[in-house]
Amino acid sequence: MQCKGGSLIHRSLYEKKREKINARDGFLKTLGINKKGLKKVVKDALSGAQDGELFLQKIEVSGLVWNDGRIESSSFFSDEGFGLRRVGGMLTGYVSSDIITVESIKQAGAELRGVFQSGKVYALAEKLPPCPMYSQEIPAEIPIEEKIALLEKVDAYVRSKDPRVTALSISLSQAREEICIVRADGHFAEEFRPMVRMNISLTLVDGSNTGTGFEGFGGRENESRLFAEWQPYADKAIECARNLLVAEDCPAGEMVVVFGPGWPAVILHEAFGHMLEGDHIFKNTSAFTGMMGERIASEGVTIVDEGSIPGRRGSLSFDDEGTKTQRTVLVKDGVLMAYLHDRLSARVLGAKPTGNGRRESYAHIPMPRMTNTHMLGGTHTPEEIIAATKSGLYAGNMGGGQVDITTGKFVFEVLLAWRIIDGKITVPIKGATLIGSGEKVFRFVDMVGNDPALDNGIGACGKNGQSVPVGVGQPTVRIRAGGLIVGGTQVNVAEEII
Amino acid sequence: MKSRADTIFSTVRKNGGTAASCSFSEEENKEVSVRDGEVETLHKDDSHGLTLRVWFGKRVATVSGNPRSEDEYERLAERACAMARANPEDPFALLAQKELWPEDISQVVSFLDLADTYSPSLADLTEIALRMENAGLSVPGVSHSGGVGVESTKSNFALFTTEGFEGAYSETAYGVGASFIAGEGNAMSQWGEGEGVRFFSEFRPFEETGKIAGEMAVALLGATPILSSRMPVVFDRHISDSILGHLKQAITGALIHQKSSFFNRETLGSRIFPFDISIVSDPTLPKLTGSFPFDNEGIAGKRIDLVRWGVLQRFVTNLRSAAKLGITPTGSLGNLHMENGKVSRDELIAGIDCGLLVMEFLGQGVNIATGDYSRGASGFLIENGKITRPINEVTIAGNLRDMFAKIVPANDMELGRWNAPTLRIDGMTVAGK
Repeated sequence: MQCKGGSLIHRSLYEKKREKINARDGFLKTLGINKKGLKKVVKDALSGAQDGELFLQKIEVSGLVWNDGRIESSSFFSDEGFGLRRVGGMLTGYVSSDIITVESIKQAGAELRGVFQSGKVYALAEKLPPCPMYSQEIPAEIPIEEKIALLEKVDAYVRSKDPRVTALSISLSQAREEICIVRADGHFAEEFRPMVRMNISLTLVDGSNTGTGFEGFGGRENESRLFAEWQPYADKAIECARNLLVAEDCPAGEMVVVFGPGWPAVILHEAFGHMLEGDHIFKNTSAFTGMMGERIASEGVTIVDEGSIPGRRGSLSFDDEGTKTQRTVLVKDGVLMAYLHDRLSARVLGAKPTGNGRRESYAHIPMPRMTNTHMLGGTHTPEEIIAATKSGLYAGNMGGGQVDITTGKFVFEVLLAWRIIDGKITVPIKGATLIGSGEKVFRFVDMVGNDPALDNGIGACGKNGQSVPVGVGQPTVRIRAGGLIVGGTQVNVAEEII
Repeated sequence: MKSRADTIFSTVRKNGGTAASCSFSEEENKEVSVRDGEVETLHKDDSHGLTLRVWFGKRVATVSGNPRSEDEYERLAERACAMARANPEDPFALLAQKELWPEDISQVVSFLDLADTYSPSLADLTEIALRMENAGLSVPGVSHSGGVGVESTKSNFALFTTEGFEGAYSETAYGVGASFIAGEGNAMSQWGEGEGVRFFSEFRPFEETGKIAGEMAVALLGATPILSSRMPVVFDRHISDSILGHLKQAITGALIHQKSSFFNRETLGSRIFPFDISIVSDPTLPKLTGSFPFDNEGIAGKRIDLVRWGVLQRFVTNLRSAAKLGITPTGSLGNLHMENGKVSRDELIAGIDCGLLVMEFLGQGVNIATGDYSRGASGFLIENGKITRPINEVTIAGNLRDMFAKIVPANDMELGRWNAPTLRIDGMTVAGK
């Protein structure tokens, strides 16, 4: 789980060569056409356009939900379709359909041509990565009996660890996705994108107290990983519920907050990352518009977006416009270095696409989105950071959050927090929310730990109604007083407004 | 559709299946967004889908997809059969029996009147979006547009089961949303105002929606946090229906059964709100966006009193959770709303010396297992019964059980548009500086 400047986590994946992908002919077979023919169809459909592409997608998701000691849902979902996008200036025309035929693509092209005129062709010489970021071998399906046996085993394990379990839900899912992107200039990108996921959630009841626990993990990998690695995640889910069972109410007000490593970086993604997306910049709806080269975070804070980490949930070999993913240094030692771009925002802002043009599916228009966004490690040990904190909150596990991009104001739910008193972690705390401003909060970082980690592979990011899988990561990070307000139910101030 | 369903059912039987249900959906969507007087996106999407559930005795599995050919339909059906056969028995997976169906589906469908005939072109939608945006941009203080969108959807849904259920209906939905920004740099405020209708003629004037969005963005400019305190909180109609959402979740049969709600089986029949609160689900009202003749399981849409005079009457259940609890299912809810109280919104606010009017939430800090409630909020300060200045960066916190018990409703609920009135809840913790 360590993330040291993008070191290769699953080096073996790199050994798979591109020939494997090109050997598949799924979409060409569906269309009854060869590659050259398809390029011609797209060229004609988008003739006169400044930019755009054909996006073909086929996805199969199989899922099992285990609840109350039995299978509650056994499901299989498949979807396929295409989206044809025509871009001219700032205008995007998009026709999507779940009927993949040459005729329907041609018809979409005709509909879009009637809609508007276009400018000078946006063409970039670019290469695809020499090796994909995940295995290109379509994994064989693991028999359902084996999956059920796994679920039974996890269920028995969790219940044996704590007899106070009143509800236990475990889910397994595996997505197998094939993507093909064809641009008018003949740029052709095709690959297989795997994704697996396991979730464990439980409720403990003891007298009148209730504690809930949740843990999940996964990535762009093979399902066999779920079979091999579930136990520590089950332990963490139980531990979370046990702590919440005895947790105290959260004190409210301004305080020092120490974030744990890994998933708590969701705040970095939501409150900071979104404000660096190119569309928010050219639309002037981000507080970071026009601040390139300026200090937007404390010294020692370096933040990167990195789609090119093998096997992670937010990873892609190329984005959904066919641009190779990369490691983009967004903030270096506190100074704003780059924004995240798709082809449109890059063209409008005179930058290079960064491989961040992503879409939920063929029925969605791509836009600048994060991939794996993480803060690099600093110099302090986590122990030093806690010991240096006289009074504060340790945010160990975060729930969801939301940000208003325009104002930069954000709110996050802390699933499990701890009071820090006199340099020691003391009692668990429930019901804390953190509120602050994304534009300001990373200026209040005063200690960065040497324990950077990526999350376990559970993030889903929503923007304009589109959801895409993402990764986040960070070391232990301290925000000094003034950076965040903690919302809770315990108020110790005078009950009046000034 | 009927003949396709029959073909699927015969494939299921051929493979040894004992029962099945299948639903078909088709959707045509058009969407336009504009920004600063220019069209930004034009999007047209067509989709269709099939969801098939297959039983082998008590073994069950569900598949969904968008097959095109007979061959693909058959393969999906075979896959469902293979999955069901491999699963262990599930006594709670049921098919709706006749007594739960609507009595005369075609009459109900025609009574409900769920589809408009108007089919706007992308150019029509563009014109509306530009008008809305123009109205918002002309509000003094608005610095730029955050984007304005208009959308139109036509869809068909059909459900068939091997028990003999046959039902189909068409519906339409139109939506607009306008967002504006006031101020510049790191002192900006934003407001989005939206509206969704089933019949196009039910939209309020588009210029009005644009203007309201612009005016709210300006009104919120210069918002600041306040000091932490306990005070009355007023939930504006824009967000007061979130309380209905929390109630619905807390009385969902599945959560009650697994003891993951702050309410439990004993809560039924007990007082959870003040006497003047009644909460009703009614999908049988003609033309409303939340109406439907039957749900995905074939259960008839019907009026259900969830809370009457403050007392909890029903848990919300589908076939599965109802079977677990041993009760009759409610089926899906529609047009869930809280009935009006006696005082006006102004009167509700006039009685507050110092409080917070919440216009918008940020974040979802609600734990249904414990009822702990803590959400980021922005809105306005209420001083001496008057709305004075904009507030942001605060959280409001409490416990849903206590909050429910203290709700005071105003009388400004408008069914289909604002499904809960403005609400006042005293003694909430507001955390700011």
